[in-house]
Amino acid sequence: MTFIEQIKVIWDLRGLFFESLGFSLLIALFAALMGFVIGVVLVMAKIVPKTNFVFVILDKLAGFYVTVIRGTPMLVQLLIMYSVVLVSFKFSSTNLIVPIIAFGINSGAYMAEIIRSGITSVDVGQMEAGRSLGLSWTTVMFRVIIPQAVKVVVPAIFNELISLVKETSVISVIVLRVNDVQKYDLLGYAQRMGLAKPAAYFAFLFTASLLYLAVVLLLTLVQKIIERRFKKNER
Amino acid sequence: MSDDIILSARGLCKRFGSAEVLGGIDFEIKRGDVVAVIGPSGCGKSTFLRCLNLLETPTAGGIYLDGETIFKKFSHYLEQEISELKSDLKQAKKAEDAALVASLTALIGSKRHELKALKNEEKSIGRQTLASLNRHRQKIGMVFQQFNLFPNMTVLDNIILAPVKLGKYDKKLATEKAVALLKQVGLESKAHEYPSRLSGGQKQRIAIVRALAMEPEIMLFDEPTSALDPEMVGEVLSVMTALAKSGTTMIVVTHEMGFAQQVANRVVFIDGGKIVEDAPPAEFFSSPKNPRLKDFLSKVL
Repeated sequence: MTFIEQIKVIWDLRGLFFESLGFSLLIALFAALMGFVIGVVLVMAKIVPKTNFVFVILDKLAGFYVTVIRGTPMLVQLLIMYSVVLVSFKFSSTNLIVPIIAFGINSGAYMAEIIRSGITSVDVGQMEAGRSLGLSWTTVMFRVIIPQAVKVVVPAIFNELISLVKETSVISVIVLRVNDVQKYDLLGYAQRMGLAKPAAYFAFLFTASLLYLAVVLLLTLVQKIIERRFKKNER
Repeated sequence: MSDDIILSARGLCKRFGSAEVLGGIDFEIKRGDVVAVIGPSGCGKSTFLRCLNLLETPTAGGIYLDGETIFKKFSHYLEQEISELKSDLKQAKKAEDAALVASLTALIGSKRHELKALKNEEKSIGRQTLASLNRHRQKIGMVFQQFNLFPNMTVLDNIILAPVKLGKYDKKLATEKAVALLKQVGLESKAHEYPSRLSGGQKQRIAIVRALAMEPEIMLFDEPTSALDPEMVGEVLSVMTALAKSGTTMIVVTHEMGFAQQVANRVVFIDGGKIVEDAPPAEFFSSPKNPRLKDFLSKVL
């Protein structure tokens, strides 16, 4: 196949490429939201003053969660979710929920560490000053500490979002289904087309790479805009 | 007489791991008193101040604010006593002194009883304090060495956050009061600036205003001028002097001997985690009794 022919093949398949990219991004988006919520909950469990027994247990559980999730490969976690834990969803007509949950759980552990590093980067004097005024821990946390931590964590959060988008490519090892029709994530689609047209395999992979790259560049742009806005404040 | 006392501490101990920072401090301050706390660095004077509003939890002792017990933990003294009695009992048994064994056993029994009651009381005070800690702290303003203004808020928001959030005043009234206080320290033009635009001396004056906005019964100053450039020390000290003159109760941990001499009506010297001298400034500086204090004063004056 000539170069022109390969481009033509890909151009003809552009709708399906974009559809598969759409599934990748959809899963990444919901996983990121879920991961953020899990991350916030884990961080709260970790940093809340250990004034009673329940908080101590919650802290230990959060620590265990982060250790296990960060300590095992994403691909393994996805396969465990797909074929063991959420096996009842495996054969349902729409099973997008499986990768969303798997990636959300994974991202949660990383988000927790990112948010925690942001909160601990704020000087302890800030909490002390707030508490000495008679404000509660929660008030100081939400009005003083978190607003300062947010600025610190923006780069790291975007780092996580970028790697999350790219890591969704491991979904290609499982079978996605929407309303009983088999669907593909971006890499999965490139691989399937590669099997159908081996002569254009490289072109398919290259196209997938370009699309991933485009999304990452877009995210980087958003990150820059947000960082600039924060910088403008209060200076 | 005793209802004059706004804040007192008894047998206050604090250890960090194996290091004993405070070794039993007894202290009281009357309304309107200005107490300067001085001492060599690392002597525990900052820790002492931070224990008073429970930013640090003391290892043992009692703290009483405005007639309320806000901290009480004496049980481990009793525990120590019991363990000493136990070793006495062992020796008595060895010596086969039946009368002594019997009396010691009885004593230990009653002490154990006492310990149980004390521990229960302490637990209930601990629970009460946990619930009312924020209310206690509203009565104690604190100014830090590093100012600790909130950089994500304007000066005005820094000042009115606590009074508004804690329902002391509504936003309008709190703002009026904040502006009045800012005028007193000559910074009303800075109300809408962010802290990063202020000099150190300005930051510290704002920090004082922020603490005053809660209208506390007593103000604690933790080395308020130590992080300042020399030319800014004066502006902060003059604000503090004016506060003292207006009758504010203050405890000031400081290295400014001039302030201690001229403004305070009592000067306390802490060394090795204990108060070793507590006297009016004239007596404190002219005829120090403690040899460590003599040595300290000869170095700083």
